[in-house]
Amino acid sequence: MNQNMRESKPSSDPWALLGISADAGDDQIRAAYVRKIKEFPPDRNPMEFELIRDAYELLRDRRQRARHFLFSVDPRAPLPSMIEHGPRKRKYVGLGPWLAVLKEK
Amino acid sequence: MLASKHSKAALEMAKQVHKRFATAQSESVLIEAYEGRIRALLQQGMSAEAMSLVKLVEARFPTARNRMEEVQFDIRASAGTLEEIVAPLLDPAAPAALREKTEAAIRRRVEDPLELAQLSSLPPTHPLRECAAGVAAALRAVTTGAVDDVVVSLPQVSHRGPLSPWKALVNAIACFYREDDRACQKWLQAVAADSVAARLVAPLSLMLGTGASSGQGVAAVKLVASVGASREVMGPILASLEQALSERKRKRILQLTREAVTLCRQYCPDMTERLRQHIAIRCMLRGLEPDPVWVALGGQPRQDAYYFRLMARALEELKEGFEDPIEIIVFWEEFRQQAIKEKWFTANSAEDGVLSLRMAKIAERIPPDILEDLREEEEIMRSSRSGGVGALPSLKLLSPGALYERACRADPSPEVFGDWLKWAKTERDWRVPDRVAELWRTTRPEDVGPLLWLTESAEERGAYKRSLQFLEEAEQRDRLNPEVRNAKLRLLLAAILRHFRQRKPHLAAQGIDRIEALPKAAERDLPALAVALRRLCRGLEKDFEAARQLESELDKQLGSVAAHVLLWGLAELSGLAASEIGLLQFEIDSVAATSLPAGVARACSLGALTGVPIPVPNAWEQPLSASLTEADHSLDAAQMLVLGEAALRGQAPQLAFAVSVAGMTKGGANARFLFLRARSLPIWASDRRYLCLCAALELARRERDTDLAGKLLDELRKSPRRMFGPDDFPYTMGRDGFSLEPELLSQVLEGEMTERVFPVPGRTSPPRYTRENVWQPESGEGDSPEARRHPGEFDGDDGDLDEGDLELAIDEILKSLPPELQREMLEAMIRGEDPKKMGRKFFRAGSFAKTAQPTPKESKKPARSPSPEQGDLF
Repeated sequence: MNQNMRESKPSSDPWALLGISADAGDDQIRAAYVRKIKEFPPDRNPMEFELIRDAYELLRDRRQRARHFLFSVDPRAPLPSMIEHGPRKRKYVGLGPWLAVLKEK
Repeated sequence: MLASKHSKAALEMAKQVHKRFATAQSESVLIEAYEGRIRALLQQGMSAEAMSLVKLVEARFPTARNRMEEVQFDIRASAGTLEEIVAPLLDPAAPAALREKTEAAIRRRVEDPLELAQLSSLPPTHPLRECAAGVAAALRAVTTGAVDDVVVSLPQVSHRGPLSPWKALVNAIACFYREDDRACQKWLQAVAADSVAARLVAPLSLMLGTGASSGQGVAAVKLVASVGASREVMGPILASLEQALSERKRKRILQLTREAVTLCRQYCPDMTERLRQHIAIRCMLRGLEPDPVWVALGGQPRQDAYYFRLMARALEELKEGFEDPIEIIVFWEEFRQQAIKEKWFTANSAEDGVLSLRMAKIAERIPPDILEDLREEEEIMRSSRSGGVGALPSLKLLSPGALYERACRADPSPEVFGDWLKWAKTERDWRVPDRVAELWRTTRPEDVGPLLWLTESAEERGAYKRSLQFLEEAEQRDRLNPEVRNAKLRLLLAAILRHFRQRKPHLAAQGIDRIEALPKAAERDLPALAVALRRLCRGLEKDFEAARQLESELDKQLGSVAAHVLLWGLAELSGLAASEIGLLQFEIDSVAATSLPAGVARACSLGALTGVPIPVPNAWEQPLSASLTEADHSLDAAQMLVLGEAALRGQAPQLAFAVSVAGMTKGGANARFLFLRARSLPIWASDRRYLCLCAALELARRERDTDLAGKLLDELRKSPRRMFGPDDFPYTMGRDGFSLEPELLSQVLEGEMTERVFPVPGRTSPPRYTRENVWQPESGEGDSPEARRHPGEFDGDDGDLDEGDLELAIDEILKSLPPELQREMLEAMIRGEDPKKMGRKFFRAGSFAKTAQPTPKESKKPARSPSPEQGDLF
């Protein structure tokens, strides 16, 4: 599996939720799950825990994982969802591109 | 003339006037014209020409010196070096107005505060240099990473000073990266409009989602693209495009598509291809012609694995009935090939297995007649583009068997083999499932699943010895497996019945001994089964005395009704006549109406327990139906369902209907009784049957009864909503497949709850909900291929018949048949027989063909239902 699989629904991307790459194996998935539930225990972060648990349920079984990878893409998804679920963070690009605008007449 | 920017002509005219009058007034006008000309040259960037003109005016008109000094300053501020601009600041005696003008020039000219900070003409401790150094450092910091407030506070920069716009800009950028967009807006408003810093206001506003995308310079576009503010830049146009798609405004869709793609190319180049692919698919789903969409997209979208997956999923999402399984499979195969090429996964991986399994299940939905047509047109399939890693050639791609095989190769799990075997069992040739089971057995010797099938298959072919061998093998694998134990009981019972048929009671007696030796034999009513078998054995041996004693014993164990049904059923299955074994006629009138259903259900339950269904005596159908619908019986839901299934198996739809009435009266409209009701309905009530199945599916989904939902889906896929309509293919009402709107669901449930009479053509009117919800294609969504061909043109008149027309049509058909066929066909319809089976039966008899000659059009092979997407894909 490669990164392409995750381009369809990044918001519900279970790999991203567990903080692992798309080609992570069973052991890595399990380790990531344990790490995450320690970070978000159910008594203190019930919502996050639920999401992590769901993500793990999707990925723990290889066949289930493959099914999610192959068929979770929604062809009817509204177009704005392509960017709504995209990376929100604004990138720091250094001074250069900003100065270029200032020097452009 | 100066005001209207005709400075050259104004100067010429002023020269002429001064030459003629030579007065102080004319000189003043001439100097004014010179100044106008000089400023015009400056505006055009011709600062050298402007400066030489200044020198000329100073030389000729000494009175204009002061005026020309101001002009000279402006020329320096506009085109001179930074040193020249800041020079007046080095003079402590410089007038305040000049200092002010100098600071304004700094605001308009300084493009990088670092240049000012490094200006050698100013002393290092000069406040302007120190401020500029602070601003330069802060600007670098905010564009490189997260910063603290202290970095951007810049207390040394006065809000009236020449660097105040820079301070505002630095703070705006800091707020932008902190995603404090409101504060960012405030700081941007504080940036002086005539300052260099103001050049970043427009791009920043765009990245905040408040500015216009048009009119941005190349550097600004690059900045926005690299910072990655795609949501803010693309959001508004994608929302508009989505709106246009939902409103089906073709022109607007195409126009917005063009704009969105252009904008995306500029600002979010990384997502352009994905966006083009998604727009193409959405437009296809909305029924737009591909060509203009491609033009608007700037060409066909890239056909990579992502695109093929999107396309296959889109085709899958089409309403059931309008989908084309062949097309879906072809696109999944294209995806598979491309995905392997692009290294998404490898051939024979888990993903490959899951995908092949999905394709196999879709292939199961290809109607056999279409597959047959395709077999005859092999040359069409030869042009199939498949040919990559593990690609299936031509028709094999559409063969569920070949796809299941590929799935099992990639993922040889019991689940996948189980699915393959389940499909194989539906094939006419028994060797197909046997081959699958053998392959399964070889691949996974530890599984009992294939052995159970091989046992059953051998048993069905009468190869009992072989069957027992398989069963023994299964017992060795897993003796405690309930399916193995059930199979053993079923097999022994089947062997006993065979011995009865062969009139070999001594062999049957041995079989009964073996049944009694089973650990399972003591469960529930199974001891009574052995008694019943022994009773038949004695009857066959003509030992009627012993037979009577066993019969009494059986009566005690099961009650007289159940005992009689069991004996009668076993005798029927063994081909034994009642007189041959001394089985007396049962006086049904002597039985209380309330205990009749319970007795029959008990016998049927025992049959279900053994795996050998016990039939209900034909003559009992009517009294049983009456006691179920009228009397207060004590049957529980499970017993009723067993009875209902027995009635369906015995082709007693009226009894099955009565069971469904009883079930619904006692337990309300639940999924299982609605399923029973649907299957009990005669074939001519196909619309009602279809809606009942849909309602049952809806309830099963709510009850999370996946087993029942699966059975309902299987039934729905082979149940046309309009059996005699021109488009006799299943049709769904919702996106999710066969789902009902809540309102219609409650109408169906309420309607069926009140229906207590088995429908008879011409005598009973259909329930109200079927009259109110006459079949018509849905036009709201319009995602169907129909909608694609005629977007928004559904008028609901598809030339189909409504329920009343249908009855008339059936009457006409029946009248055209000879009396014996009329009777036979009517009976078959009431029994709810499959119309295809009916047709085959009548054609085999030859009589139908002789009496009702098909028209040349009808005599043609059934036309392949049109592939909805063919020639319409892009």
